[in-house]
Amino acid sequence: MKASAIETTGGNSHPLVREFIREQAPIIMGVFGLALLAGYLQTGTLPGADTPFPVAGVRVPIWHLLWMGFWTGYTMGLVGEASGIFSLPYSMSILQFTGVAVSPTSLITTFLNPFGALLGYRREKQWNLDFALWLCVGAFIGSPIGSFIRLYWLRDPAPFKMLIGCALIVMAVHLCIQITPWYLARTVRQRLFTEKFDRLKEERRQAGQVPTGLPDDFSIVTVRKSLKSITLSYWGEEQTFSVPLMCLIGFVVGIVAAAMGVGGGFMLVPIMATIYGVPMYVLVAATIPFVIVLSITGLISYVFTIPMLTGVSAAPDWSFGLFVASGAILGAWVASKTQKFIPEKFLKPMLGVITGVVGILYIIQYFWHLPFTV
Amino acid sequence: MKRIRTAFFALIPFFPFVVLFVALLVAVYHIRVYW
Repeated sequence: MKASAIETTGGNSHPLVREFIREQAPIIMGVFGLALLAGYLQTGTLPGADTPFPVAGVRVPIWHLLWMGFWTGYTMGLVGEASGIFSLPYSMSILQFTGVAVSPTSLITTFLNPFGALLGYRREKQWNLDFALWLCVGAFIGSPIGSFIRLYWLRDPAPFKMLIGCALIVMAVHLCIQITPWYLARTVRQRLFTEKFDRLKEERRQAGQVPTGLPDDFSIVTVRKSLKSITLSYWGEEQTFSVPLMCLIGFVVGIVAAAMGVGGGFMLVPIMATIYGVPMYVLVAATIPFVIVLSITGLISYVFTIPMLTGVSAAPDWSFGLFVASGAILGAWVASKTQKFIPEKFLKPMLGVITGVVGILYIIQYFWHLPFTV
Repeated sequence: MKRIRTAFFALIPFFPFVVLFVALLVAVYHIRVYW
């Protein structure tokens, strides 16, 4: 049924192919080109399997970094998150990049990763800067604090991995409860939105039109805004958000995420979905700008602010991060286009179990000696 | 061409599992070669 629905859009000028060539390919190629340039500028040759990456100090083939970016961007994109929370433990435990520079390097990926998706969301009018503003303000204040915490209290890999372990367990729990009746009842707005969306998709399919995409009249409109609250309207629904609470959420998530070197979506999405029950289609209007602001302020803090104030250097490995980012952008785009056809009922618990096991191992390793190193 | 495309879309639900399996193989390869 779904396959035949897509076939109706086939032909030589498939809209997805056009979108990829016009919007995604230039970004991916641009980031890949920057990675090559950074590698040459940093080492005078191309780092990879033979020459270690200058800051990371690890030998890893470039195709492996592209692949890591792709699979983490793809799998995380399918569950509505960015690649950071997967690529960071993979970089540390498999690629052996355990230095403090892994956090700012990961922030390069989380900063660039959402740009591909950003174009699509703007076109679909899943965009409201009033909604994103106060979360971003919180992240703007919180993420530099997080960078300081990472450099002064979490410099050693052992406590840092334990923090990552805690984050992975939070994410594992969120992934696993998403398919429970309790969570589905809690996010009633999400369910109603999905049902409405499915009806529209079926109507479009029967009319021989492209079955993906939101209706032409969809937009997230600001109804009222003040320093206390903000009211949004989307597709017949109206919802009010507390400005101080949004700012506080952005601040706390900003501290934790910048300290780890991830985008913060793994915390922001469950918090916003649980407190407000915001549908994912609307939530991206806030999470995408939030992740971008958090990543860039965290990165600036690691690269400029901290060295200037304290003399402690925490430069990222630019080529390493940019190679991963180019793969992650492609992975996130493929995920956004195929998400509707993936059975979440199996995928989410499976990803939840994987992240949970890694998280538990990280925490156990901090307290007891394991026969192997993770 | 139409059959290939239909088969491709029918296989999409299995992609994440294949991707995760390949990621595991690549990780094992990296550990054996570079550690």
